[in-house]
Amino acid sequence: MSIIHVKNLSKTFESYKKEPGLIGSIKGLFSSETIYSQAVKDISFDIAEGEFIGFVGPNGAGKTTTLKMLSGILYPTSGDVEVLGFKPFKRAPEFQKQFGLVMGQKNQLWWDLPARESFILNKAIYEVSDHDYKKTLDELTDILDVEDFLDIQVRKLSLGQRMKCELIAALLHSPRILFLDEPTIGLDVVSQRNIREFLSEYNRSRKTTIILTSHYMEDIRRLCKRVIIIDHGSIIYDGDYKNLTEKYAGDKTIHVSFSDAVLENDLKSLGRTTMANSTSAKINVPRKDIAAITNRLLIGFPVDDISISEESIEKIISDIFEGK
Amino acid sequence: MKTIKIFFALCAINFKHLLIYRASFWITFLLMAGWAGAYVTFIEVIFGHIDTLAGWGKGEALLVLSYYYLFQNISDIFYKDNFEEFSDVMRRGELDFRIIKPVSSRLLAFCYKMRFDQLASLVVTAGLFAYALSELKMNISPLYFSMGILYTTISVVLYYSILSIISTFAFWMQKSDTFKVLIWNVSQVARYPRQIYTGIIGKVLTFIIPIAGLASVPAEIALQFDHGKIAYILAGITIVMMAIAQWFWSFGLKRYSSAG
Repeated sequence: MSIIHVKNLSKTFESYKKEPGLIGSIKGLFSSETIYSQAVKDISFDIAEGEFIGFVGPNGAGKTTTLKMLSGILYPTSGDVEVLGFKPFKRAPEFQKQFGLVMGQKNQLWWDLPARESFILNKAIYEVSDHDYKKTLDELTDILDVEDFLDIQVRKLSLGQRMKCELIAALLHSPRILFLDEPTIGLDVVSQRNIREFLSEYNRSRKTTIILTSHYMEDIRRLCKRVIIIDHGSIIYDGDYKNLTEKYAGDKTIHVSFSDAVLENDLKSLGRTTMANSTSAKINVPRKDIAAITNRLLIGFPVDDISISEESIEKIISDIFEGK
Repeated sequence: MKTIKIFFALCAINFKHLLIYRASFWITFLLMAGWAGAYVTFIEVIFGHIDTLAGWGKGEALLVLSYYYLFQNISDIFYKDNFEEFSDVMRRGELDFRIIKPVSSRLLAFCYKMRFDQLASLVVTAGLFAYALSELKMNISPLYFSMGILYTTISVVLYYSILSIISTFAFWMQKSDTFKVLIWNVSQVARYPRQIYTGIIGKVLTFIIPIAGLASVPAEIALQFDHGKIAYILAGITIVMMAIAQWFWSFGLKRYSSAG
């Protein structure tokens, strides 16, 4: 059952054009040109309870703007949005109690105080009972292994430690939906892995709906079954992560090495060679021809070793964004 | 009820900040003592030449000044910094986390940071009250003195609403600092008896931008002056301003564009 319903949602921002230099600034005092930029254009999708969705797109694609409209931070310019049966922009407290938000580049923790103090404030704001607060905090502290630094000033924590505390602050009230905007940005590889493992387990055990935006394809690959690709404010793909490869990667790559020297020209008839010499080659072959070409290689050439690979997801997405 | 509970939760977390601002506590004490001393001297100079000012004697004028400082101290402690920083907070997108919480977003926007180091000012203000009372030619009933204090809290709420309305313009203008500086300067008129402002200016400062009575009315109540009506008017204006401020805030929030 759908708990997030988005239909023809758009968001346009207004800004003012300023001519460069001092003269431009003086002119700007009297007249300025208004610029309208459409950050999100007419997007539609539905999300079911318990899903883990990845929002992928380059900088300025509209991922964060979409997330902010879903959480009620931004007021949509047009279209419908409904989350848990509420219009997010009306900011009903009953709605706000049911979601959490983590933003990798902003923090909700009090900078000069230990994270525990921010948790206590959130407990009051979300009206979490003493029993539930203790139970949830103990569980999250244990899973995220943060017991040792809950009483250290936030500004003295590492980025990874701080992000774990941000997650706790967003989850103390056991929300039904968790919005994550670049939660692993700037983290080292180990911290990224820890956060990913936690999120995966949390989604699996609690059935919490998680919507994640990330630049790191590794986050999406490891966590999200479904991915929504957004570019220039429009959705260009919404579906299974696995199907993305089949839909957009028309070719597979055959990596082959030979026991005896072969003629490079003979290989060109098999497909598009991206690398070829007398002892090895990489050949891009249409997906449907892969069996036939492999067969021809094995019969007609002194093959020593052969393997077939899919194009990397990073490459596929980068090709999509570049319009290839 | 929940808003009051969260207000106290904000007080608690901000009070824990006090240790971080230990030096500021003492600097505030000295600065406040200096300012209060300067204004007391100013009043001494005025009353060195005249006996009454718009019907107010020296002790009574000092009492207005004391209520003014009390009103200012409370504003400084609970919300002043938030209004000063609001434009920047809004433009940097730092309102994001405050407007998605299931509690009054205006409370989180304007009472998020409190300055308990400013408690030092209250010590100076207490001294000023003692001096004003010693200069009065009459005895003040403790009941009416307390009612004056109560009315100071109404003034604090009224001033909060006025500043809230002005700050909300930042959603359109991005920066409303000039307005704020203006209102801050205009608020200085509250340190003198409101009767000295006459004609149109007096009407504007009493009913349109109701700042003239912020300290004067609590003093009038404490002194049992025959001005009962103005107390009701101030309370009524406060309720109207609170409603306008809340409506305008909700309207302005639709324009919030966050950042990043």
